[in-house]
Amino acid sequence: MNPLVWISNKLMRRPSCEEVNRFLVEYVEGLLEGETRDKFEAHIKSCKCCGPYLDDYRTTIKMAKTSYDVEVPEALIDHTLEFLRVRMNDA
Amino acid sequence: MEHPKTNVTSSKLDIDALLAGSPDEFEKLVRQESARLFRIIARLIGNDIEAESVLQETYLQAFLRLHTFRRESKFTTWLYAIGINLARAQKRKLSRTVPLDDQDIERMQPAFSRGMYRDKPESWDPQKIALKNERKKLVHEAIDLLPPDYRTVLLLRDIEENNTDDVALMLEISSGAVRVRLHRARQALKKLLDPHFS
Repeated sequence: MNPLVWISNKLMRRPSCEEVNRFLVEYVEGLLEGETRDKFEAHIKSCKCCGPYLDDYRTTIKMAKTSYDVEVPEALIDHTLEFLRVRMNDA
Repeated sequence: MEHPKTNVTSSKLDIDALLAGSPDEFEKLVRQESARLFRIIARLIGNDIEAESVLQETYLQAFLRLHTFRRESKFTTWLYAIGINLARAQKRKLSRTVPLDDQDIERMQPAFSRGMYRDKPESWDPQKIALKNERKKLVHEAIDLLPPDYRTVLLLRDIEENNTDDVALMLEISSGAVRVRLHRARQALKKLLDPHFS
């Protein structure tokens, strides 16, 4: 069965907190649609646990995104091409 | 490999020429993909100098294995898979911290009783999040504690913002497995950060 159909079936009645938690990835990815999404969001809005949990879940994603700065070395491509010139000739 | 940079980078990769071993196409590949691939490798290893060596080795391995590319994914996805595997192997060699294991991750998932949270989740305080000077460092260190499989998915999906299907191809697992791992990784990361922001 298509996983989204399965999720949709699970959420069509009043979903529990556990079911809402289980499908947070799909919700955050925007994969839930129509009535499934409406039921999911109705639960989130009215639940004292799931609403705040989703807020912090989203904050976790945002903080992860900005936690790893990487500076690309200026000469990276030149060094790499030089390395490859030597090694590819050997190969 | 004597084309000026602008000509080499601006056109689309000719995969047939690349697979036939064209040095010009390989140079174009290096010019087009190095910055992004370097960032992924550097984040996986946590060491920029090592990352440069692994990047170079990735291209060399790709060149030597061109004949094994089956066109089942984008060429760049195949290249990134090589880079990710090399980076993870290097990370294992260099790692001084012992990451969490699968059982730790299981314990860090929220517990439910009759479909409801067993313990009411503690909401984070937005002021603590905003004021925490060392926030980046805390998050970085927490991500480093995740088991390699979880850390890799989180890096590729949430930090590098690849889509789920591409991550699945890079890691040779299903999209469903990517989502399950990603969800567990995010929840474990949240749990690790709870004491700092609650």
